[in-house]
Amino acid sequence: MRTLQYYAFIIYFSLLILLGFVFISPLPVFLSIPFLWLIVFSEFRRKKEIGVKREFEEKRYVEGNTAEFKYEIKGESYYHIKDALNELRGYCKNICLEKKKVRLYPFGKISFKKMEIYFEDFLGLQANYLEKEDEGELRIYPKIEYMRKLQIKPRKTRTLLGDYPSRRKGQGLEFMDIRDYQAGDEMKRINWKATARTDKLMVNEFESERTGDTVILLDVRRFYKGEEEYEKLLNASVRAAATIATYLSRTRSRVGLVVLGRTVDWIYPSYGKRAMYLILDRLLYVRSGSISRLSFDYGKFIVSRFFPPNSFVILISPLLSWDIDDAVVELLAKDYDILVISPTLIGDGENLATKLLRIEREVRIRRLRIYSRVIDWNIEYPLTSLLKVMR
Amino acid sequence: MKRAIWLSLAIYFFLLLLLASSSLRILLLTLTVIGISIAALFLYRIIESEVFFHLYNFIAVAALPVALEGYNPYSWVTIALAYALLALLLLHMYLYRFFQRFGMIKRETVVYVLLSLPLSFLSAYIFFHLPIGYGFWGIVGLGMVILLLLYFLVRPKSEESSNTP
Repeated sequence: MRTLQYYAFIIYFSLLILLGFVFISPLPVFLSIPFLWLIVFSEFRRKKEIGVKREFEEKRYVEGNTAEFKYEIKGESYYHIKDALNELRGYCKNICLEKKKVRLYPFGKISFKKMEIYFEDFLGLQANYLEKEDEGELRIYPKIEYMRKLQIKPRKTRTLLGDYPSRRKGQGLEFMDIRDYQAGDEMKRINWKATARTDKLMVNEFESERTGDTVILLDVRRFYKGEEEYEKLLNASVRAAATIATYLSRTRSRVGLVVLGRTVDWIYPSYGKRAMYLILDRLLYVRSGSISRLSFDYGKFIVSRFFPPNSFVILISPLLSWDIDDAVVELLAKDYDILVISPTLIGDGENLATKLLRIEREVRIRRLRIYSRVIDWNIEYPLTSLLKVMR
Repeated sequence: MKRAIWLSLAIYFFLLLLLASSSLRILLLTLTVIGISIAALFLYRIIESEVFFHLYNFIAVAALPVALEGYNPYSWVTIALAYALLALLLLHMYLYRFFQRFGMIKRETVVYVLLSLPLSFLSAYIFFHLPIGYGFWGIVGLGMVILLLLYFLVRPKSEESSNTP
């Protein structure tokens, strides 16, 4: 392929010759010769095969991690290579090895579908342009805050054994009561001090630890224009959801997810690492691209339709829409236990609209506090510091 | 190196004006052509289409015979002067284009660009000293050579036009 510069030089050459004839002057003709020489150099220069190979470690990354890409470039020319993440420019003689380290930010999934390769010869007159089908993907998971032990737990539990202390007596770790010995009780449960005091065999009783269902209801709808501010809120909300999902997957409880964004999407509750990766994978696609027209009723409907009553609903929402309060009350009436985590950017913007939004949100938080637990979270601070003291 | 991109163009324009200062008419004409070239350069900076890049550069090349109108075009000094000035413009073209596209320029490229000028000077010398350089047949012969070169250079390449696998 010839470049535009090649044809431009041909036109320069022809027009200068023409100018020489029109103005009956040899000078434009002489000036045309260098362009011809450049074309001749370019034509007679031996061309080599060109090609690009790329290598990178295809694994799960967390935002902020660094991924190293290795490009092997073959050929003798200037190059401009562009894929889904990187752009390389320079000159290569024979075989070159280019290494590029990229800090991965923010979270999301990067699919390498197409690689644009452009080579140009040393005089910029011959070029090669390839659009190569590319493959591979990078999954950049949201940054997760580590939590050792959370105080928040569902008020209602299921029948299966798990990590949450329930109101029932059974085989747990937390001491609950002392009762008389009955035939069949284990020896290790005998409370010898109480036995000595009362002169009859007494045994300890423990809280039964049961599993619970938790639904993370992530509200990332965007109603207003300020995309940049909203992006910060969204990122914080997604990181909070990822942190909670990771923590809950370590406990023996079932975790589900409902995402209310431009559309509504959900993941059924499941256990362990499977649940964690399902949720984290879904969170990769959460974006605040356009303004949402969904009402909160969709989220409420999905929770009440697909998740069992008595589930623990963790609602992560900036509480910017008017329809949340009533929906939360309705969910409480349907026997769901609700914890609201409301991320906010306190102090950003001092105009009238921002002040009004802030007041509306505060009123909403006060109303919600009557029915449920609410965490007013300034995203400048880590969420775990608030969750640790929450009961 | 990046400073050299604009420095070479500025020196080129300045020298053009300096050479054209022998006559007011030529000076004004040169100024007009340079003005048009700079206008096209601004257009290029706004639109960023490569066509405008070549347009302003061609106008800048065309300013050269205008500025040297008052000099004897058959003189070796004039031709050498024209090539020296053209070298500045070619440097600007190559530095600007390659830095913009690839962020660098190899010494090899600059060497070949500059090598084209003494070769052109030699070509002009041969043209003057061989009998074919003058008269009707000289012009016809030159025209034929140009046409032949254009044919060979612009023809489509066989591998591009072929449909065979």
